[in-house]
Amino acid sequence: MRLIARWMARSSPSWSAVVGAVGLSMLAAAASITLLGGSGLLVGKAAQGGGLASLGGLLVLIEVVAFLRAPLRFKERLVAHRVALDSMVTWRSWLFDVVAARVPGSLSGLASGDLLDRSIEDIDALQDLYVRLALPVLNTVVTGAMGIAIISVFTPHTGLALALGLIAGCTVTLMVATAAAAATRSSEGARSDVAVKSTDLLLGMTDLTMAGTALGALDAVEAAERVRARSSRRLADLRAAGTAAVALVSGATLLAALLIAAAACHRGALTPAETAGAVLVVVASLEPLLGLMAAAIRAPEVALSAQRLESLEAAPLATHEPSNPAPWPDGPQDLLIHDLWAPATPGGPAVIQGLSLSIPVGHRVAILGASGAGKSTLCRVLLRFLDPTSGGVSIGDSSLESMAGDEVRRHVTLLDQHPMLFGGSLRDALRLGAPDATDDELLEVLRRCQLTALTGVGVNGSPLDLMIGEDGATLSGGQQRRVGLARALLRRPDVLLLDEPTAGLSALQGSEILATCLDAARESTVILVTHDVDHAAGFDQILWLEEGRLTPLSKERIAQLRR
Amino acid sequence: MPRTRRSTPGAPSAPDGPSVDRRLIADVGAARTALILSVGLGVLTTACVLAQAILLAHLLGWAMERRADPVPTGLIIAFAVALGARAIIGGVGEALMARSATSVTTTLRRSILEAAVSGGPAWLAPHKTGALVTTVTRGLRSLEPYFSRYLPAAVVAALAPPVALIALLVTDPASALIALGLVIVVPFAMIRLGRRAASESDRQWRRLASLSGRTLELLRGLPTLRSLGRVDRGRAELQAAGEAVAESVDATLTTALASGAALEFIAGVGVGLVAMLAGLRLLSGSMTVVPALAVILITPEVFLPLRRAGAEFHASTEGRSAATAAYELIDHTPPQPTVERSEGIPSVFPIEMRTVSVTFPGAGSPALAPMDLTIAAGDHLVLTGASGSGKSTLLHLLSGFLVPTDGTLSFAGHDSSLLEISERRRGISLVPQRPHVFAATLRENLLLGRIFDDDAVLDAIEIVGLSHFADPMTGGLERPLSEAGASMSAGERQRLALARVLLEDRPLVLLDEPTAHLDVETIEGLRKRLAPWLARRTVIEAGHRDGLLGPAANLVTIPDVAVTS
Repeated sequence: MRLIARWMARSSPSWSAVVGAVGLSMLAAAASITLLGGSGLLVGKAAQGGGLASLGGLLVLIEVVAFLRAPLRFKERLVAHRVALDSMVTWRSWLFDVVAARVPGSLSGLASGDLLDRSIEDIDALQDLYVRLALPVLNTVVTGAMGIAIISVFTPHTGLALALGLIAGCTVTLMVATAAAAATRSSEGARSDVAVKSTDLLLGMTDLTMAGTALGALDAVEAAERVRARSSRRLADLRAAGTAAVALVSGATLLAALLIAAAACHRGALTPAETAGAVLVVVASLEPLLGLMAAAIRAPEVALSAQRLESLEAAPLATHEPSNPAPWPDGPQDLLIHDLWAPATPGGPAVIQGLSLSIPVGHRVAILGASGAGKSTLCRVLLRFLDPTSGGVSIGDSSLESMAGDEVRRHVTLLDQHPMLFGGSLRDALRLGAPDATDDELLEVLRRCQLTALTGVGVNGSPLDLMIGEDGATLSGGQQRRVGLARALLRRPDVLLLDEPTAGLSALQGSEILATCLDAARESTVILVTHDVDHAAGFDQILWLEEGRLTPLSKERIAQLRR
Repeated sequence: MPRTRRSTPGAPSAPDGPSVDRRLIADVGAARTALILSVGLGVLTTACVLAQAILLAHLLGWAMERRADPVPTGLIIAFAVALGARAIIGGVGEALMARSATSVTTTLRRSILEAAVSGGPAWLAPHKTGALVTTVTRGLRSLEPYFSRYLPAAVVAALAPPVALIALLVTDPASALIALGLVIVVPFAMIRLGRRAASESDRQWRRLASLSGRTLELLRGLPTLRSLGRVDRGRAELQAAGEAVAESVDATLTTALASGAALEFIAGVGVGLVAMLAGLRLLSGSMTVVPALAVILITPEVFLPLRRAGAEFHASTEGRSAATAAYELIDHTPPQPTVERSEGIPSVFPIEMRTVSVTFPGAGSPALAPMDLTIAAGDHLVLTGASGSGKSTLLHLLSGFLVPTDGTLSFAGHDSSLLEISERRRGISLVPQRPHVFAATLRENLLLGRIFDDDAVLDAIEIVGLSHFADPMTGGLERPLSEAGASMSAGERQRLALARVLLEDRPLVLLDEPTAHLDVETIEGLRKRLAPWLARRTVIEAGHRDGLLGPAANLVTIPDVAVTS
């Protein structure tokens, strides 16, 4: 409940929309009540033998209301959908900000994993917050209150019966919602277990078939299915009980109201017309209860989505921005790493353990190491995506930690094995790194990165107009890497970080790319991180990263590694 | 070749009409049960609803009497029974339909997975794994509302209006005529509006889905955006895209919601007209109170079920496209090769390939150009060749995941097409290029459902150099390897697969680029520790001579297929 309120507050819907929705809901409720109640009144009065004149007004009213009710409900739904859509925009931005503050580094598993897919689905599920949760509640409250008020004018006892019935209905609904919360959670758990096991079976088919145990894995899925079936049955039974209970409460309330109204009529306290009207108003007032139950059943699922999204926010931040950020020092500066200790993710065990290194400005350093030695962690620290636990990195006399992350990244640029290019034209992809670059500058950097082969293929004859497809899909792997390099160079980095920039390319392509990097980034300090010793040729320093520390590699050792 | 159609809840593909529904009903017992149940429950519910309306009219008639008649106990009991029955039938129906829905998805999932298991990796190959996984998990999930919500609503929509009309006809023919006249309007309004609404709402869904896709892309690219200092631009783009979709959806939403509103409108007009006519006839004395009230209470029941079925329309399209996707998978079962002998052959050697080539259906050039090769027991071969020349294809051929398109492949003199595949595999181990890491413990990941003792497992881990994974501090063999091995590097995954193979004692070992992601140091260590084990086996390694077999192995160069692309 509090969770849902928090998300509504987070989306901050405009007051005019909320007021509009409530107003429309009231009008629509009034129309429903008038249509049924008025019909009862009409029949009652007509039966008493009133003249046509006395009924004329009522007849017109009923017809007008009959025409108006549907458009009112329609408009009400439209407003709720609108609020939902607007909220989605806000929630998506929220998710974007939460993730932006945490990748890479804190939510490193998230960036590539299914978790991100699920987060998007969870945001989509929140759409129901307004349309399928808030609206039924609003309808029940407004219609109920209006019905009670109208009936109580004529027969307070009947009004009381209706009020009690509605309270009972809401209580039952609330109980079902509470019970459904636990059942939904266990059912969700069982469901995701089936999903994980099925996925494993499909993705691991080769391994399982060779092991001769694919049938066993199928049995495991079946077992998980049985658990899921059991837990969904529990949930279904709960829903069924809720639906039945609401129907019973509504029926009992109607019957009670009818008997009370009948007694009043027989006493003479109510006219027959008022009796019929009152009873039919009770019918109209009870109608939204079923929708409320549907909301109660849906609510736990939406809450679960909301909870999962909030758990993202609980992941610790990988960096802390200084309150008084220092600027990047002017002029060419050496880079110093002093007794650096850093975990792979915040709070984890240290992967970098007391690493020290001094890189004179303009030098090229190659850092070699086995997979898992901490190369990527080192890159993250250098990009200020991750705070060290102790020691640090400084540029001249200023430590990286004293600067804002964006300031550091204005001067330190990364080219990794998968430069994300997004869609659009080649110009868009390049300008992502340098929004103010002119076409001439872009063409110049293309030439430096040996991408001129692309010349003349764009729609307007300029290579910059070339559409590169979703995430550069129309480019070859080597071309993608070169575009990534061009984008990095446009930022005129003081430090260019290369994190396995040749992974996934053939040996020839790889060495060509590296040669281009070194040639094109002549003004920058270059740090290459790789597992392949062949790529270290032409570097000023070649270092070996092991157990979190760097050791220089001797010529003999390099020859031995290269063999 | 059948392709998996991507079926996410967000993007229903065009359903193939009613054929999928019919097929579901015909094939799946639970679906049949669900249909029969919904018809039975629909009849009962309709009966209860109408009985309740008529009884309420009678009760109201009594209540409106000026003189205190004796309390009509019979009527009250009948009314209570009707509403009790309706509540119970509603509840039981919901519970039963939910059970059927669960059974249907269980059945379909089982069928797909059984097809996958019997077809093996060859069955999986033509499908996009991502789409496949989506169909099996989320896709099938969207089939549940089809049975639990849409089907019952649709059945009641077909049953209740005619029954309600008959009830009206019996009570008051004039009202029945009004309702009938309006009901006839419904299909016309619905066909025009409904079709438009369906396509509009479909388009709206697709737009929302594309927005989700864009959001995902931006989120995935966040590390890049942060490196480039362009997080703000990403956010702005997300916001603009969201607002643009909200704008455009606003227009289509109107149509989408309009079909429901039109039905409500017709229902409202119906009740209004019926009430007016009843009032006028009461005045003239040509009608009495009870029938007048009854028609007012029955008339909405002619229209309401249609409205409810319309509201569940989305469940039907999503469910149908999920079922279509599921059937495309189930139908695509590769023909099983004929098997001559099912008992094992003593040895798979010698393996002889005579002008064996493999061409995938629909591909222009062969995946493996015709080649001859003889593999004798104890051979150590390194397969080289340009990427795409068919190294993996050859290994898959030997593992029985592929069959030769041309030429003959024989094991110990028996033609491969006549040998039971699982029997043949019992003599073959394979380290695939991209081994899968299961969402299970380290032990389970190594055993893969087989039985080996912990000592053997620990030995295997040590040989491949993954001992640090089994550190007792992190749970030892019980250590869970996170979902899809997100925390493991490609090199570690391959070494994990090597450990799996080490546990098996099979004479032929196939290694598909086992060192592609390893550094020289690690490769050397591995080669040294594996040497005694490899020496006792026949090994074929795809890759190069700096791999696990080392320079002593014989080189086999795969003929170039002259790949055009």
